[in-house]
Amino acid sequence: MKICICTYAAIAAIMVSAVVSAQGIADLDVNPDDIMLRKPNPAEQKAAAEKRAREEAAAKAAAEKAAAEKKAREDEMAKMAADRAAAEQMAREAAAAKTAAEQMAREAAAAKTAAEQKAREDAAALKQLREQLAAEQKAREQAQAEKADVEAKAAAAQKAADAALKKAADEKAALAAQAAAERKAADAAIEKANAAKDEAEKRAQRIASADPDERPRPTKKLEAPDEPAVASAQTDKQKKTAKKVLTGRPAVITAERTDYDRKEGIILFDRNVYVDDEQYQMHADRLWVFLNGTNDLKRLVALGNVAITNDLKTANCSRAVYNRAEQRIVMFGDGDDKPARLRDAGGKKGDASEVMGGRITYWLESGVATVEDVRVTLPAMKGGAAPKELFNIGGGKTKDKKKDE
Amino acid sequence: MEAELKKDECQLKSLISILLLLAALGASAFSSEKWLAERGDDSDVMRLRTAYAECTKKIAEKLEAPAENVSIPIETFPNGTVKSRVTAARAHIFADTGFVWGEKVRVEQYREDGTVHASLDAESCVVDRGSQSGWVAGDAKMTYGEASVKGRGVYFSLARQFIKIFSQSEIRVGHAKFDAGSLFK
Repeated sequence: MKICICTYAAIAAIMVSAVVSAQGIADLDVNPDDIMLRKPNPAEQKAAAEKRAREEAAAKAAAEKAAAEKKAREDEMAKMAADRAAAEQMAREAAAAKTAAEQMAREAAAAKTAAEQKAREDAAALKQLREQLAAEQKAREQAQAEKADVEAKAAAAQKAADAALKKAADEKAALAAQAAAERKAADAAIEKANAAKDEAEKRAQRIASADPDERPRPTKKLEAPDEPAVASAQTDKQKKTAKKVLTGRPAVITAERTDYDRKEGIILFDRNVYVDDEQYQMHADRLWVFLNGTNDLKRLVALGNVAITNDLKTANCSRAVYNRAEQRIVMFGDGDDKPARLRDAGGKKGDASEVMGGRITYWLESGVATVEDVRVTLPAMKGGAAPKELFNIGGGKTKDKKKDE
Repeated sequence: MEAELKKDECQLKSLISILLLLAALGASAFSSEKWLAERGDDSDVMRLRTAYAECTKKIAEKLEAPAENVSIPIETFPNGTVKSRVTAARAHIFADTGFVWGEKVRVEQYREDGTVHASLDAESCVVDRGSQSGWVAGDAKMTYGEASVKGRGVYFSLARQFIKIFSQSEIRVGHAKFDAGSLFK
């Protein structure tokens, strides 16, 4: 075992020394064969030198060529790089130009959009202005039309007022003429009665003074005078009653607007309603008239500032409902500030009475008035005596519902 | 006892039902708001007013020749007799629109026996034969039985039996039919 190890160590030492020797020879740039095996030959040395020179020249040339080629390649590479750089620069410039162009296009588009928007806004503003002008024009026209309408209505109202005044004057003149005629007839009747009385007295004296046997037999039955006493004894009240002789003239209703629905049997009078009946006059803002199938009056409803008058009686309320079948009028007030009011001026001074309430029901047949939320103003007391017609409104009785309750 | 209570309860329920029914009937009897809403629509009036103005304009431009002493039936009874008729001293008949424009116009409604039921006189008006309605721009006078109606600016609809007077309306009614004389006597 030890022998083997020694052998191997010896072989290894030999090999190491051989390698070291070979390395030393190689460092001397000498062919080991020449050193170890052959002797130097001048021709060969020359040839070798020439060869070496050729080889060196070739190597030099090759090196130069390689250098030239390398330089050429480097030049070419540099040129290519320069070209590439130039191309890249151009591409960058083109891209920049494109970007700039796109930016410009975007700006142009934005400007166009803004211009369009502005144009739209201008158009809208113009349209609005035109509409405003048209509306103003329309308003002016409407105002003018309304003004003309109001003027026409005012003229119509004036005309109606003139007509009413003329009518009132005519009626007054007619009543005066009638009163004069009645007075004349009464005077004539009194005169005739006095004459008849004188004649009768004379006849009685003749009869009394004459012989009873020679008394003339009446050839004609003595006639009673034509009731002069009645005419002469006419009181103011009777005269007033005489004036109220109904002629049966139709009632006239005027209003600014009227709707007549024949199918439903409804007439609506609107604005400044005035009813001129032979027995009463009525003002109201609005009047509903309900008719039945045969066109007979069924119900009346007056609304707003209702005022009803006839001779000495006056009623004011905010709403009045007349029911023909029940023969009653119900008048409503408008809160505590505006109660329904029924006033009787009375025949003589100081006989006036007034009743106010939230609701006044007036029964036409009996003349009884039922008042709710009542307030009554009584006529002045004379010598402590109770007024003759206390609560006698419209010839009937007034009943305080609250008192009854 | 219990049976009597049940009986009373049933009677009370019946009474409440009747009251509710009466209240419902009363509520549905007449509603001024509903009536005004239905009759307050002036669209047909505006249509006829516009038609009147257009017809007047066309006539002024002499696009249509007038006809004289015109008598046109508007509506007939099922038996064929005339129910309503419009007569005019001068008239323009617009075949394309169906409007009849007339001067010195008289619209008459007849009963089935041929007697005049109601009439309307107007200086000039336009009548739409289609809708059987018309518009009087100026003064108009209507007579219906003992009642007479005057006004300025009048719309009438024969089909709906409806008249609307827009200004200066005046109605005269006899006591026989419109017995307001008993009011507040």
